[in-house]
Amino acid sequence: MDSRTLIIIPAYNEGQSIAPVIDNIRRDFPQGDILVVNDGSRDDTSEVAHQKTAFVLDLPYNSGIGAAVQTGFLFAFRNGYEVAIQVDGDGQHPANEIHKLTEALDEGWDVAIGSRFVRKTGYQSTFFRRLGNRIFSSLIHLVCGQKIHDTTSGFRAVNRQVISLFAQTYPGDYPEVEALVSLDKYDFRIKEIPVEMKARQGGRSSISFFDSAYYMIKVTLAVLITAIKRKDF
Amino acid sequence: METIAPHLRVIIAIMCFTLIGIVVELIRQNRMRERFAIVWMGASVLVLVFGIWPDLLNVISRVVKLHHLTTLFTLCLIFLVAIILNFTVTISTLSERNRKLAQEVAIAKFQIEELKRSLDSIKCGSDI
Repeated sequence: MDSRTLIIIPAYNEGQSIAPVIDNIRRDFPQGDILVVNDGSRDDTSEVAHQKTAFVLDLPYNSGIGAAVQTGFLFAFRNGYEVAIQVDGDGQHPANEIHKLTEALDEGWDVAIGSRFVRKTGYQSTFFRRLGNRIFSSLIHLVCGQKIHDTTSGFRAVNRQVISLFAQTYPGDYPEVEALVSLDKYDFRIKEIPVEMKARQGGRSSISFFDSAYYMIKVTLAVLITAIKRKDF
Repeated sequence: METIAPHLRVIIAIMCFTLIGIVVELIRQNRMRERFAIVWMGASVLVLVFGIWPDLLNVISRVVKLHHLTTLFTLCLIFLVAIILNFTVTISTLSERNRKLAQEVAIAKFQIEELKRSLDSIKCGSDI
């Protein structure tokens, strides 16, 4: 295991849940540095994270999940981290499974995705979420020729090369699926790891019911556009 | 082919001078970037050409086989679509830069805090 590992926690109004998330990571994955990217929260997310003596980056205004996560990758890139792990601030990603992701990187994979759907494990989310995921999964299969079951999972570990890519280019809103396409474009190797996820501990999903239709359309278009986009470098 | 009605000429003339007036004033007050100033100056000149020589509209209408009013509206529409596309590109560029800026600010703030902290610890150390 490399000691230069950064755990990126994008957080928007997660004051309720961020403290246990940090505590769990400290307990289950003590070798990683913890970075909370506060995406212009209106609650005490930043204060709580500061109290927990995590690294805290405060975006001056709400810039969207993609921008928040990318800030983390930028930080990781500039500070020479070898591995970056993205963990949600709402507590649904299990800290005690982080090591499974880093082990996959140690085996030589570029990206490890903690997946709900590879095997039937724990929390499975709602029917419509699963349906949406099926559609994205087929779409990714079509565009990238690779089978990824849990395309929207934000529980991911990436190596230094991917950190460098994401520091330069990362999608904006609803970035998870789109990011897969650009990973495929640059020929990075992706491994899905079954993990047990919990229902969220606090706060609410960044995707409300009414946004779902927009979400489906936007992501589908974005995937197709990313597929035909020129490489930036 | 019918000629352009006099009242339409008057309307074109008024539009033309109003547009030119507004554009010149905005540029003078420094409220318009050069890039857009060029576009709008171009538009003003076009309107001016049609204002001075309205028969041009008839010529074009004859070529594309449309009523001259239809031609006028089509030309306006093409111009508007072009400028909106241009705006969309500009807005996208700006929001991308905005995002980069926010990220840099966040990182810079973090580094300032780090510096402060290490400075404080040095100060404390020298006091002892």
